[in-house]
Amino acid sequence: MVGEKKWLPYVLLIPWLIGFLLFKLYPFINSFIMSLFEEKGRNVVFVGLEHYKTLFNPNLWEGQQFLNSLKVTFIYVFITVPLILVVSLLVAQILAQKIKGVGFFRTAFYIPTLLGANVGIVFLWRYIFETDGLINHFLALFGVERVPFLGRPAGAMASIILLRVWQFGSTMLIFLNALKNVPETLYEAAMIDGANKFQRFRHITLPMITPIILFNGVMRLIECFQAFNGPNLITQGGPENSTRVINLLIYETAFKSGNLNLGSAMSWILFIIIMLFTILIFRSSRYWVYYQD
Amino acid sequence: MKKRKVRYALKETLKYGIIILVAFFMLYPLIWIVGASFNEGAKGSVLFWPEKFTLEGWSKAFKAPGWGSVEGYSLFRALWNTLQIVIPQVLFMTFTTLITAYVVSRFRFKGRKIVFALIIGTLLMPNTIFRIPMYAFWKSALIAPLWENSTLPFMPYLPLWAGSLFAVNSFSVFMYIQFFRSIPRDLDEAAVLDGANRMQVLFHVLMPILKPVVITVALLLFISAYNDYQGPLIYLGSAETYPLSLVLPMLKVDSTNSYASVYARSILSVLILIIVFFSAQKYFVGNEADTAIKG
Repeated sequence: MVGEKKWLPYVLLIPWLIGFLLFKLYPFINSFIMSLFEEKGRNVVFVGLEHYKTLFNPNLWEGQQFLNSLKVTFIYVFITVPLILVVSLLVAQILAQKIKGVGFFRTAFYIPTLLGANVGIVFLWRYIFETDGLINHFLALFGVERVPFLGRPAGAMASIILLRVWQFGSTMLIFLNALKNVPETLYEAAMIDGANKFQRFRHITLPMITPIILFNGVMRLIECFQAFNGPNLITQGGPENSTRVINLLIYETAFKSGNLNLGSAMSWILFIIIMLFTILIFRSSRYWVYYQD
Repeated sequence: MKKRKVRYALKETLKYGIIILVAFFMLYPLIWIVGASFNEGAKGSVLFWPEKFTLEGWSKAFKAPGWGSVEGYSLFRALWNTLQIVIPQVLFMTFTTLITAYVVSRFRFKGRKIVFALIIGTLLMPNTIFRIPMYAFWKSALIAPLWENSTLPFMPYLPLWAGSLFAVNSFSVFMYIQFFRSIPRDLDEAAVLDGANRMQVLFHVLMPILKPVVITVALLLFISAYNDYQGPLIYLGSAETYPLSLVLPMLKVDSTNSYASVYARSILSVLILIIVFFSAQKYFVGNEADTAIKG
């Protein structure tokens, strides 16, 4: 623009730059450096990749714990993320049609997202899944015997997955918005060609919203790999470590036991895993994501 | 003709049936908790309506210090502690990320593309990777005296909100950038020709248009700061500084705490969240989606 001061944008970006250097770049590099050291008494000793070797050694206790956490995290992520995507897309698809009270439903579906991350509600979730809780009261109506959900590995996993899927609100809102942006003319043309409802969804709606599926998928994947509140508050990692997700193990290692170095190594492995999946999804996107322009 | 009408009616019923059923199941646990907070004795049944009605839970919840077996914890003290994290976080972050997004979307300068790439790059970075070194930083001998055991308001929570001074929330920046894209540049240019400087353009010309996204960003920051659990868990050592998210899990059902009183306190602690959400909701629902991805 005319008469613009060349230095102005740089001055305005100073806070962001400090934030980037101090809160992002510095801890990013430092966590890798920390993972190469070990505290021995009062000294900090360079140990190279020793922590990484330990974590992948199934004969050591730390290795067993870590490999188990990786497995648990993978189970959690690869059930939760697809479930969130499918449920939110289905609900969005219904809400995108001409429906009365859309505003009410949008709010209703967002409320669990608003409250579900709150500790006050998360720990009540425990009472819902307890042997004497709401779900078992409900099942009893159908004559099903009480199930100690939280006492069984699969039940405990199911309860933390459900807690997260329950909060599909923001993913759904993003889908809903994308569905409304699909041009009406495409549907009209398809109807003239005799496409039925399913065909229209499969060949118009789905391709048109693939960029949004990509966005939602990646964001939820990154988030679910770092799940913490549910596993820590409801199941405390149990029973038998079946819900000890990696972020919980990192917390316990670094902050409860005070082993910041080993915790950093775990964080880096988690980071590399998340990056690999993100890159993989973006790479594959050229085969399934449809860009209009 | 008649057949079609019947089919239409059937389809409509199915549509509403599914959506109402899903909404019901989603909201039922929350409704049930409200009912259970009035129920005496056990946890209640599957029904929302309490079997034996009591106000004991709620009367306990309002008494400060009202934490029963968790002696000395007042609900209102914990709420104030939560707000000491939330207020600076929302105020500063809403502002600094707006300025950052404004510069990246509306200025032409060398390095613009790099800044944009770094913002998107950090958006995809898992927070876990930053957590341990930042903890070491805040706990270091040089920095810790700044905030630990500080008697000033807000200061004991410095590690939890300091980033908001420096626009570290890439998602907020990203939401603003997406919104700026939908505002025609002619608007800025006309205002500059009229003699406004770039800051006046932002605060006087663009602000009315930006209002919904500013409120949306502020609300999302409010929700995440209010609900934050892992941050306080790591940084806060002394019990007087505990926010709601640390005090609530200590509430256990025991001889002095009935289920009703535990539920009542939980409900009370999310009440502000609900009030804030509903007062900002007209700008919010839909806007998050509108601004998250466009183009």
